[in-house]
Amino acid sequence: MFERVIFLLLEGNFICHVSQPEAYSFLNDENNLKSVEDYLARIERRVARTSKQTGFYLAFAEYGDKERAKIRTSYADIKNSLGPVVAFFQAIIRATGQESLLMQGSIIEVDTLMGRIDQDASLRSELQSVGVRFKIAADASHRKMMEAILKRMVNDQYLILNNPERSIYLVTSKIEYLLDVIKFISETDETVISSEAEDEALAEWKTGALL
Amino acid sequence: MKRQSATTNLLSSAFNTLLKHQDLIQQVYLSGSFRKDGSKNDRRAYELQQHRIFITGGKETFLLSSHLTRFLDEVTQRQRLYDVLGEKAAAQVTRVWTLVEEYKKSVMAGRTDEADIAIEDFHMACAELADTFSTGISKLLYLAETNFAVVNSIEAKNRQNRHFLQQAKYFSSALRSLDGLHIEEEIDNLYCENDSLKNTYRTLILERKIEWHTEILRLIQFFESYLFRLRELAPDVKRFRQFAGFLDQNPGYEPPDLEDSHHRPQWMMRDIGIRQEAYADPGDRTAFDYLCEVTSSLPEAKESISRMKEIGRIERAPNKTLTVLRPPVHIVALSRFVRDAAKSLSPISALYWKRENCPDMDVPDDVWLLLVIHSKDYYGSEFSLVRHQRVERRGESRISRNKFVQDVIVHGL
Repeated sequence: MFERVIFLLLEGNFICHVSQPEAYSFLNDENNLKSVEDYLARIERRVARTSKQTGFYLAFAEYGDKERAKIRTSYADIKNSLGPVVAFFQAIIRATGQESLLMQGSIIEVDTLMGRIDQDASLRSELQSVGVRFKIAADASHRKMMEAILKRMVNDQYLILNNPERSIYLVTSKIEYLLDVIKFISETDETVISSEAEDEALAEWKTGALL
Repeated sequence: MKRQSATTNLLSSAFNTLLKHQDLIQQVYLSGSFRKDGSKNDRRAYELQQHRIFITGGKETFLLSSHLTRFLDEVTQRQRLYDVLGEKAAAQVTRVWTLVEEYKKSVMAGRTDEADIAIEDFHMACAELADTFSTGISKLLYLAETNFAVVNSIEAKNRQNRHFLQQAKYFSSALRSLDGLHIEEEIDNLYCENDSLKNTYRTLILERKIEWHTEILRLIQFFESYLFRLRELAPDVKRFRQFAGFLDQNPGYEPPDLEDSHHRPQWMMRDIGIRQEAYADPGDRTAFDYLCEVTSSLPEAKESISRMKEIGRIERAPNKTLTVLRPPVHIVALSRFVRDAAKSLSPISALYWKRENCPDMDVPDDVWLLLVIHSKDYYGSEFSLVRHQRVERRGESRISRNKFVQDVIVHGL
């Protein structure tokens, strides 16, 4: 299992109870984790955990010139994918009404989801706009569009296909990574902070006016 | 005997009523109540009320009996908000213990009738307790598996989780109480030993107690961790919603460049990894057999023909020879001969024309004459525009008297 875990980490996978249950159990053992960390330390890497401690991933041990280029590439990927991924989860939350979807292990049942989307014009329109963000051909049917989006989400490790026959997907611990990114941006980027402050002030004013 | 017969009649009547009015019962279960509307259903509702299947729920309104509702909820696996599952378990445990005590006292006092009733009720109490545990645990497991799917928002899930965590704790407390009462020892130490009590308690409670303990502990652990996760998630959900709203309002937003900033969060240090590739070493003798096996299992390479694409042109297949269809030389010659003859003012000799115009044609004179003679029959309308006249001579043999064609004279009509 040691070898498998090392390869999974080196390939950039997120290891959690949902995506890699055996590897996750292995890493949850302190002794195993230490042996993996010792090994990775020799190549200047370490094992990092997501904020809720439900997933493991590979991280650089230090920030130097060698790492800078890779980190820049990685951050560029995050910047590009942030909008579409957030739009996807927002659409799914709206369609299912399940706020807990942003939790590792949450279930997405495509048949149920498509049933709701088919019945609601606004959800269909939202799916179209998510599809556009993912650069998926607008002339595809809603079902095909959803399948293409889900495929991208699986490739990006946010979801895994748990039951292909019933089209059931599970949310992986990478969702926590996404929430970490959002938290950091929301707390540090002045553009976002000022906009959210304005929104909150407006909401408070509306509440006050109503009262 | 009379009492049993009366009970049987009541049961039979109740089952008949259930069967007779099943559509109305189903309607009330799904809609929640029935209001008198002056139809035939009013009478049916009254009849159902007589059998305690319906209960009055206000003026001219009927509701389904809570016992039947609960039974149908079990059948349909319907989730009820804040369902009471474990609260009654402790009371049921006490009842089982009290009935054992009652039995003991009745036997000591020599009241056999009362002892029989106590035994009968003990069986029923054990069955009810077992049912409460198994049904309650199965419901809690279902809720845990579906993450309280009946409610959507984090707050509602949080409240449901707290309630059902409490229910699981009630079950746990009832089980502790069951352990503490040592009912099995109490039954074993009875003044007059009763195998029926022992068997009932063992099969319905004792043998399943360990399983219940395990399941309840698992459920409590799940609900507690889920509660913790829900509480942790709540601010994240709020932040996510705000950020998603911000992106909706600012679709062109791009996060700032952070890689050069001094404050680098952990997520930014993630290594996206590398694609692992490995190659077999053909020099490694130990891997030889395996490599042979792999090689033999490889599919044949597909041949592909690549063609350069050119705009506005459909390219033919490469190396394809162009086939030109031409009529045979003698047909061309015949055609020319006929045309010349038709145009000519004087008759033309076929042999003369051949020698003059097609000296190189590899057709003997006699064959040429034969072709000219039969050309009308075989080569179409063009040849019908001329008339043939044979130049013949008789053969020298007196017997055969064969005719020999020496030439054919052709002229236009």
